[in-house]
Amino acid sequence: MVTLVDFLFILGLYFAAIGLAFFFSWVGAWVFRKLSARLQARRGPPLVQPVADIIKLFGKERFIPCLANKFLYILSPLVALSAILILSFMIPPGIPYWPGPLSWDLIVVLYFSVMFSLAFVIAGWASGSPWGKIGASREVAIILSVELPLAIAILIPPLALARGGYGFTLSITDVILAQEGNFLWTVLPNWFIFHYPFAALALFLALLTKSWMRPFGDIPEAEQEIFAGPLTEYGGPLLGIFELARLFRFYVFTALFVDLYLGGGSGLIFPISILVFLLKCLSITIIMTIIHVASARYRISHVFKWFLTVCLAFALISLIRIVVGF
Amino acid sequence: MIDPTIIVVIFYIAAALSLLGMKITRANDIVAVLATGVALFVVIFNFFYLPLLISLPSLLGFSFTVNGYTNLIALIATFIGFLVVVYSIKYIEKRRGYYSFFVLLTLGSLVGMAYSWNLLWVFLFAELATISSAPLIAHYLKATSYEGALKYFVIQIFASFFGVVGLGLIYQEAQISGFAGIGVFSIDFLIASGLLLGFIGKLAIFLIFLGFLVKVPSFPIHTWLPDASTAAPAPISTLLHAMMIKVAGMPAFLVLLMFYSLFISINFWLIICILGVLTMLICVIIAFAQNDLKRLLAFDSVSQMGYVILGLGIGGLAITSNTLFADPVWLVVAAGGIAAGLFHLLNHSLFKSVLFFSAGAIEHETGTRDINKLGGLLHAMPRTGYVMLIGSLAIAGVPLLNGFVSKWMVYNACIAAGQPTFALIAIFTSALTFGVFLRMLCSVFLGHAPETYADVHSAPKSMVAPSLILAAGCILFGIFPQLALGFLIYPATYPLLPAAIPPPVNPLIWVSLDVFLLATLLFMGLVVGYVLYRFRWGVQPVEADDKTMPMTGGALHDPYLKVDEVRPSSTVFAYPFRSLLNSVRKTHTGLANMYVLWFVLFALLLLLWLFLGWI
Amino acid sequence: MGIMSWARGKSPWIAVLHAGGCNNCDIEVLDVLTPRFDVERLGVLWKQNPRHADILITNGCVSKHSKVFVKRIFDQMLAPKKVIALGTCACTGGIFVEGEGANIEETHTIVGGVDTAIPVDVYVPGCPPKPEAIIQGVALAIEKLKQSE
Repeated sequence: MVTLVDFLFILGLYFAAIGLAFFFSWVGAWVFRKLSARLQARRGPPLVQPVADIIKLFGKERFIPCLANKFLYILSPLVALSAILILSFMIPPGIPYWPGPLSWDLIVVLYFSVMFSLAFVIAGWASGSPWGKIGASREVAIILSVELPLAIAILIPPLALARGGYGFTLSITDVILAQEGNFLWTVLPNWFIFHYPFAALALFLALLTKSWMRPFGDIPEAEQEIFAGPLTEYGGPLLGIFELARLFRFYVFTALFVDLYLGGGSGLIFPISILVFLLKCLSITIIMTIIHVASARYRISHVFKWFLTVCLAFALISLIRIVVGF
Repeated sequence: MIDPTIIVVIFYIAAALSLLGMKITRANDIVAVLATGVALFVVIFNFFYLPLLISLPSLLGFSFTVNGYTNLIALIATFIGFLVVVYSIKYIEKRRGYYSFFVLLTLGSLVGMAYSWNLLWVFLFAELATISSAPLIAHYLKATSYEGALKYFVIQIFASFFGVVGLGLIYQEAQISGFAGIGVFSIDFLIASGLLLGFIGKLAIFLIFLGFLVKVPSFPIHTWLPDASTAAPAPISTLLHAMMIKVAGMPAFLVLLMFYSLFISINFWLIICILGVLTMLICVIIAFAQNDLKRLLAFDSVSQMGYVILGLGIGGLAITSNTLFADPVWLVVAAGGIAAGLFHLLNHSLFKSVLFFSAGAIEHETGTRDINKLGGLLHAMPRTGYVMLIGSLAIAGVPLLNGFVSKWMVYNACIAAGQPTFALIAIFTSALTFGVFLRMLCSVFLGHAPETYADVHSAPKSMVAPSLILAAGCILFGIFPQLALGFLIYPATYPLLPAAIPPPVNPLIWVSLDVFLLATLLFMGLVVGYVLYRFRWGVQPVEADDKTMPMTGGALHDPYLKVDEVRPSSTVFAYPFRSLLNSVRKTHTGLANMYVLWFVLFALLLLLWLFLGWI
Repeated sequence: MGIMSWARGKSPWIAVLHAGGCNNCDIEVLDVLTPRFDVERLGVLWKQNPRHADILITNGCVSKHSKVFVKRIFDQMLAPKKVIALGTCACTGGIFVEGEGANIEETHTIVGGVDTAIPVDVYVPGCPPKPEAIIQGVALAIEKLKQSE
């Protein structure tokens, strides 16, 4: 347990981390929209666009659909927001480590990311819209298919550390700190992406899908078929909260990838590390955006097929390397 | 310290009383509630005297042992038993007179079994519990209930055959004849005398293990449980799932862990872990395809017992590794694995009884268990609905509920023991459980109620109150797991760990996860969101006729997509597993003969493996 | 005026509703999303969902059959909301109704312009209107959106 002073310190850190994460995700979201527009030879929105969207949604009318379950309808956006806020607090933003008790466990990160998706599923079913129900069912299908490759790929860096004599650890901080230094005759940085490229690829595909980006990710909200999926019946401030939570995803999922496989901000002093971290996150966002714009949407059964064969195979290659030990 | 013999005697006297007054239902209820209440009080009272670890004076070798482990199991038995008795008051109003008698007889036998530290008495109480619970499963006297009870009975009898042979081998090893020799079956005596160190002793313990493994149940021999629990009335299903499979199944692992010196083999414990992994994975996939609410819960129960088997198996693996490599790190892993298994056992009895109580309430009010017919019940039965929501999320391992903590401990134990593959499969199983329960929840509670269930109303208070208490327990242990771990679980691990491990090995190292801090931060997030939602941003709502109408597309009275037409069907959810499910359908024939054959083949395979020396 | 007014002006999300008529304006709306005209630089997002939208662009004349739906979709939008009547048919009923000016008469199927069903804020005439005109109409609606309470 923590003392009161520790607790206040953690609380301050929590809001500081949220502020930083909000700034990062704002930039990430803008890069996403601007780059998609430029790739389609359009001009794209200004930098303030993501924030303006959310503020505008808060300024709209509050309402509750007649078929919705009122309690769950209001609760689910709040759960989505608080789950993603905790995630953005747990994943260190380029600062090499969070102090003391805050070196979070990767399994907890995994579970909170599922909790985030759970909020969308409950939202879709509680809002009483048929489109919401279809979208929620698809979201569940995506959770099921993505979970196994995602879990393997997230746990490979700590397992590799344990195999390398580092001892039993599941903390993100240890994973980041272990990626300092160089590798392969000091040519490459000692990042896990160079040690386990296939697992990194699996994690990238899983996070791409979790961020609702094509070719798999936007199946739950496919607007050409089912309006906005789980969010169909949402509007006004509750939609604003959902959009805020989705804004944070541009930070959370890229930061997870950067921390686990691209070394975070390791090996650098404090302000520069954050800057480098932001650049790494943005480059991941750019790659994701290019894939999003360049590809069409798959059917839901293809997601099962891809993630439980191809993507799982990528993850298993690295896992077998660790378990067998070469 | 109160002698637990009193509890068993109270239960048997109450059973006799209810047999005398079998016509007077009200008196039966009062006797049953009083007896279980007193028993629960005694068990809780005994927790405050645990450090004494007393073996009580014996009469003809019959003695009860009160330690952390036996008291934990007895707590599960009496607590769930008490709630089951309360729940039965309204659930089966027109019951047959012997209902109370058999319930009390079963409860008494299970408590006696929980406290017994003597293999013969464990076995005898287990048999008594089996015999007295079979009439309860057949309570409705319909063809399906007879079928379920018969299947249950036949498979249990085959299992106890293995137990009898095991006990006979011990008796023969001890070379003692006469009635006074019952004391040789005492676990403490068997360990201290070193009687079982030979091959015959190993065979005997392994046979007893096999006999009790059926009651857990483990993967290839799980088939009796869904049929029995579907046929039984809801309180009896709860009794089966939330306590019987635990109280009657745990001796399997008790003997393995107590006689760990017979099983010093990494391979042996790996196979136990693999058994757990197979149990959890395959049964959860089968649960996907179920449309009967109770069958879905039953298959999921088997799957959750896989976590318990895995946790205890990892504990045994760590104890073995400690013996082989003499590295004290393994002691911590062993303590953690066993604590994880026991904590999941306790948690499972909490949330599975919530789910079965709620399923019973739904069946009581609507008259069906088909999840494809039910819908929108959250409006009609709000308390049952929210309680079931909590139970389902807890079983799916959503953070801040108790299932998350115990699953987290199981994963950590697996990874610390150097078996990450098991942890990954367990995580995948957890995701599948999440899918199973979301499908069930969305189908039964959310969405739009069909017109058939327009006049459904809330279940009676005595049927809702037990599940409310249990759901509160789920939240309490989820946010303050230290309560359960410190007070209930760690005292229970000490008797199971080898004597070489001194009690100061502090398993609190396993709760580096500060769930309370997480809960606070999550609550902060909820507050931030709620403030954003309620803040007066200064917009006037407009009055409009159709503002809150759902967007269904198409015409007003003939929408393109009807609201209650969309359901999470098993064909979509179980899509990736359809070939596996087809083969499952072929093997689950429903014939008791086939299931017994499975069991015999499985047992023979394991025995062959024993004779080959655990290759 | 304040931050909310600024945000409303920066982020108008639109939904397009085709009420009846010849479908030409419906196709013409798509032009404003193409690289040449790109309304996303004004912050416009194409949300085919009245719950999310701030501006409803209606085109085509309102038939007796579709009047209910136009009304309903307008009701389902959340305040503050603005409506653009796009094209001559949406403004007046166009060639599908008889009469001129204020003396428009219903035919056996067609009721008239969109303002017979719901209140309209911006009229964009044309058959079909040029994309520049549509963008101007959107800009006018944005101005009205900024003023709204």
